[in-house]
Amino acid sequence: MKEKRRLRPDGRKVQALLMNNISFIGLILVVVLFEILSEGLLLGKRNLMNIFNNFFTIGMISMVYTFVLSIGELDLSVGAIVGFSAAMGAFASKISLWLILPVAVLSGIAIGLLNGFTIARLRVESFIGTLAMSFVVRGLTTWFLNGSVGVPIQMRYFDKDWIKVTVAVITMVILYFTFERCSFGKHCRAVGASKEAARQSGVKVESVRLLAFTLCGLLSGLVGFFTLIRACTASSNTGNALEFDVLLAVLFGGMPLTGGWTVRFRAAVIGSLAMAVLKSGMSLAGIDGLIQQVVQGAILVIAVALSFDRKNAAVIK
Amino acid sequence: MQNENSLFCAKGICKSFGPIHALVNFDISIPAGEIRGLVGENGSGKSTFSSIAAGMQKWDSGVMYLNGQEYSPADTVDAMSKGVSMVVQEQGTISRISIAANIFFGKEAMFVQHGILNVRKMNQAAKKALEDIGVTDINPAAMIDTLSFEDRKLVELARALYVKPKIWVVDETTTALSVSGREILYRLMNKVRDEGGSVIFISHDIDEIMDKCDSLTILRDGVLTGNLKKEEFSADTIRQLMIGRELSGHYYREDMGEEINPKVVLEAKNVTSGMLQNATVQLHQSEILGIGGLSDCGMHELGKVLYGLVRPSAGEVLKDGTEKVRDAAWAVKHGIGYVSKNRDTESMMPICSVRDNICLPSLKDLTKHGPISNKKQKKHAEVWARRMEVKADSVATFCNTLSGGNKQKVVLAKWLGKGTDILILDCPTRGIDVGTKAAIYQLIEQLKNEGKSIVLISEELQELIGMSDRIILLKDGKISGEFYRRDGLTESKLIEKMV
Repeated sequence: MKEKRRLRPDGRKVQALLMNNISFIGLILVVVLFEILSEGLLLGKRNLMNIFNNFFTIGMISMVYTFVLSIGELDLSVGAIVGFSAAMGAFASKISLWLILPVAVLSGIAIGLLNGFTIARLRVESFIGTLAMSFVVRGLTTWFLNGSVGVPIQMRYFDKDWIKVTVAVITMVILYFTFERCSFGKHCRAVGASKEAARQSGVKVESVRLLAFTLCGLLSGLVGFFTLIRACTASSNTGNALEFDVLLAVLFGGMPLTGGWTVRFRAAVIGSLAMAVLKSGMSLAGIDGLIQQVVQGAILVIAVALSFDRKNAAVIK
Repeated sequence: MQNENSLFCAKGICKSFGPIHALVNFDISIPAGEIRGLVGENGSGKSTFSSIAAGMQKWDSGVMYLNGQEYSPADTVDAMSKGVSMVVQEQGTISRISIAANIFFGKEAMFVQHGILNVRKMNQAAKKALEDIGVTDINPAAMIDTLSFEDRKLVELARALYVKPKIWVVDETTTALSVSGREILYRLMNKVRDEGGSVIFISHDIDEIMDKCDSLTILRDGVLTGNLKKEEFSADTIRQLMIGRELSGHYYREDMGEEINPKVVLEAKNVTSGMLQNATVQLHQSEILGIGGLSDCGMHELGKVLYGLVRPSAGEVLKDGTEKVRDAAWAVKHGIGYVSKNRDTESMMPICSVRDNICLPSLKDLTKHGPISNKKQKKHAEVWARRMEVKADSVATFCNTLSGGNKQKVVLAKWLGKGTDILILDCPTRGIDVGTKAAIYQLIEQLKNEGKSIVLISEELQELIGMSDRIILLKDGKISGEFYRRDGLTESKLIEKMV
């Protein structure tokens, strides 16, 4: 009998329960800690929307990142796509304000497709492929913008909390549903678990990978639109380093970078919430920007170390 | 009861994994100079015991003695230094380093001069170590990855024997070796025995066990069921002790074959791909088509081409005479299933539940008003896992915790659940215990009777002869012979066309 990890003995059940929900516990800890440090300001009425705005950018992309990660791939170009689609949207506003949203989303889809093509068809490692893509896209954005381009201030109208909450909730429901209850979500995890086994079970591996990156581009484009109308201007700094915030969020949520069946959708949501609270809390507690980076780095190491081998899956490739 | 003249002895060994008792009060005593066979079905505890003896895992209770001294290995290195070394079933070499570095892994200090590793010296020693086991055509300076799976096993043998073990554990290594590799292994086992050591030999092949071992210890469900001396060996007794009941008379098919249905369901037309040259093969309705040959004759390639996994460089594959098989996804959609010979890497997802493995190709059929229904998935998996008698706590059990035979049952359950009409089986019984083997043969026969068509690719001639309606033999990528069951099949007839 080669079985090594059958049911855990009773004494370990509690430990297993704790380990399985460690990201959730982490979230609560972060909330409690900063609630105390900020003397109750963190969960104050005004700050809640602040946290939500942080969550919106990171969370929307983290949720779609679940698909890419479950295939066992990375997308380091999401920040660049946000910047690019914001810029394209800003240019489109010169023609018609109605074009901003479709152009931003379509630019995101286009870059996502290109990512998918590079990785699925040209067989470039996703780490390299999307990193290179982020350089290309950032370069193009800076070149096109030549400084910054603004959109009319009346576009601020769409930067309403209720609109963003609605968009976030609808996105969450659709993505959760796709991930848990549609073939596509299952196929993503199957490809991550074993590309060859998935192929031999009738999964169109290349299409699944292409679609996941395209979806990631689509959501990044949407985030690009909301970033644009919030700032009413697109600059070469828009979406800067967002890919690392997203990566930090999903890792904090306990997502394994190897992909496969151990990927949980809730990891993206919990992780992004924790990141949003953390960012807002640190500002409220008056922690210096540089120290904030140190704290984020330290938290990342701890999160990864704690979540390691939680369910037979390695965290780092 | 510690025996005076036993080299190795264990008493009352227990080991459980959660609620599963892998070994219960297991006793064994092996005298010096003996090859002891350890047999049992998959999951009977033989691998658990051998890995405990080799220091790979801890045991719960019981004592072991080596040379009359209490023996409790802390880890494999400790076990090796005390004279117990093991060759494992899975691949045990380390990728991307040289062959010599693999042989002397962990012992590099032997070759350090003035703080620098003398690679030349290490390579020479590796060459000698390989020559000692009778392998002369491997260059030890080359990377391990340049070797075939089989040659890597030989490197592992050299590594295990370099330490001159007193107890040498060989765990199902022969399935990975060809005939010549096996000869080397047998010779080495005899050498260890003749030098006063002992060998613990684990294999599923009863003929091999009976031929090579001096005595046998048989396990069933973690319990010792018998010890046999060479003169008491008989295949029936061994099977009975392993399974605990008489195996029903028919192992293979018993009928003599009938007229083959003229309807062609799958056909490869003048296919050329890799080794394969201009091969034309037709599979008929409710036929078991055996495909055989030496291991690199192109038969595995043929299976992949038929399934659409490999696109042939010339020729085409047609289903029902008209539709072209485009790729694996198309094949699955049109009722073709494939079981790879590399079970763990290609036909299943190991870090994944039994349920998700079984449901993967059938997801589209498990929906309720659109979305996939979790309830339907669970039910589907349970029905087919039960139908295949998969031994697992529940369908949520991860597949990497199952034994080889059970994994294969999960793979077959996946295709049965999909309701495939054409099954391409590439070495479906490789490394599988007798009980599961018999179950798979019965299943194949039953599927045939239900009107399904099966391609059975196998390296075992007995299996091909026992199961096929028709056998096609390949030699160097070309079809070299075709035989019908109804005309009578013999091994010698087949071998003539294979080599």
